[in-house]
Amino acid sequence: MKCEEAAELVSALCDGETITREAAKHIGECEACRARLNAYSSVGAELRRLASLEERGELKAGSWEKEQRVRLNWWQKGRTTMRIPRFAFALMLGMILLLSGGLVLVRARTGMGGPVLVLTYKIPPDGRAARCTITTDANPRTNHCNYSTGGPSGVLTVNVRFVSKEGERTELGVKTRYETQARSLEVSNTDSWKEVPEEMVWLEPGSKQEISVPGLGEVELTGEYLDHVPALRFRPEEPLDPRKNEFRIVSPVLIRGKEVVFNLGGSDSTDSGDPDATLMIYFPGEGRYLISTVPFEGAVEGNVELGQIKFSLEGQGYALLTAMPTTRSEHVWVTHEPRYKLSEHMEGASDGRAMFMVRRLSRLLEDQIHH
Amino acid sequence: MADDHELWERICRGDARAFDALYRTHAPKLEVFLRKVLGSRQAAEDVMQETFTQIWQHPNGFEPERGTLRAYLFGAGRKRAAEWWRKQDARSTAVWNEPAECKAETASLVGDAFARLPGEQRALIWLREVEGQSYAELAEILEIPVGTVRSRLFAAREELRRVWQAAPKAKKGDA
Repeated sequence: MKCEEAAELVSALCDGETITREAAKHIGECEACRARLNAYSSVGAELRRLASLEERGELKAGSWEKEQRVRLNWWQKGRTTMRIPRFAFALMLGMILLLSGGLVLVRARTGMGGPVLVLTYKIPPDGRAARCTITTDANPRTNHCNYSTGGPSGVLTVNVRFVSKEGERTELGVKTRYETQARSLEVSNTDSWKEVPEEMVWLEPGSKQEISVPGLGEVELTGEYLDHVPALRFRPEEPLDPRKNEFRIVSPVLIRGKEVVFNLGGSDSTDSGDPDATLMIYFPGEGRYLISTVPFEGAVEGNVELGQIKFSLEGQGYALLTAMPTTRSEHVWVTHEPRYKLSEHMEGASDGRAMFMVRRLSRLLEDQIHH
Repeated sequence: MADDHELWERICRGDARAFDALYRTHAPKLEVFLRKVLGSRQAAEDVMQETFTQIWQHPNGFEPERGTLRAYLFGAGRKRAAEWWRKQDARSTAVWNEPAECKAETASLVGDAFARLPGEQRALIWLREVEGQSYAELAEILEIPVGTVRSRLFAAREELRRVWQAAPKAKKGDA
């Protein structure tokens, strides 16, 4: 028997479990396994010693006791001091509920046509829809969007920014580019966009605008207002549960031990349906993390629970928290490459800027990452 | 188990004295356990109170044939603690995974290493080594199969040993 095979049984031995004869013989003769046994025992004893020193304050009266008393007293007091017939009291409660319901409806109606514009592009030749969301205000973080999607033989990128608003009409600055060969990812606001001419369009709910994209055809643009920014800016209609083979990420926060490594805005998700969906997160000074729904070389296993992914790397516990459930998978596999430089693997990318994206694992493991 | 069953039946009938007995028996240890999991004395006290309040108001989760009342209580406390973590602002480093409070005179290298373990491993080791919970009880508390308890305990012990032994040698004499 080898030490690796005996190791778990050393732990079981500490718990008073019986182990196999072969394992017992090995542990008795192997210095490394005896050292492990001694370490486990010492740690247990030390924890019990610390627990004995633990300060135990005086047991406070249970709040449950007080809460019950307060609740009963309030109701009893109300019943005994009621000065109107009980049916009249019940009628009054009903009227209050009815009126407050009406108020909620009125509020909801005035909230329609809110400050958030969901844009839908219909892409030729098949009219496939793509979406993104902008705010119609001066917030530079949210009042524009840069969206790329595959066309029949290339990649369409649309850059939209909010310009002004008059009543229900919104003026937008739209830049488009269609490239017949896949290019490296380009981060928005790079110099290359300056050369692309901007088309100004006015959009209002129910109307359509056609934008001519050289090499592709007419892209139909429509918009509708929302009163809030949807969690997935590029998929506002998305349900809470991820689809099969989908991996999505919304506003991720990575925590290592007690330290917040990063706290990012934005969202991304796969739409390919391939089973190896993988999240890549790059953060300056941290390198990159790959989190995949399939095992791959050098990756450690982590657990998924709705919007939380937990794993241990380099001796530290990590928790990746996101605003929506990420995947249907219960397990993920994670690597961390602290020396990874984004600029060496992605054309036009900056090492000083955080980014994340979800793609197929095989594509993210390539030396150069493309769309 | 028979005592648990009887005590639980009385609690279900609204017997405040039975509930008080349950509280006095288990609350101190549950609070220490929650302190280790949550890393905050105040949070542990709050979560412990919420756990008992919930059980008093809705005594419907315990099944005597499935395990002990103690395991049920610790399991309920653990779930509340998990909810507490979820509600915290993840941006605040002050509350996330904060190491357990440790007074100077009780500090030790093992204690430091223990505080650096992930919350789930801390809970598992504490319940096994300090509370002496059986594999069956741990399975119920953590809602995992009994067969998984052994492998998770091994992983947690191994991680603790690794963190402990990786600590600076100069500090080892402190233990």
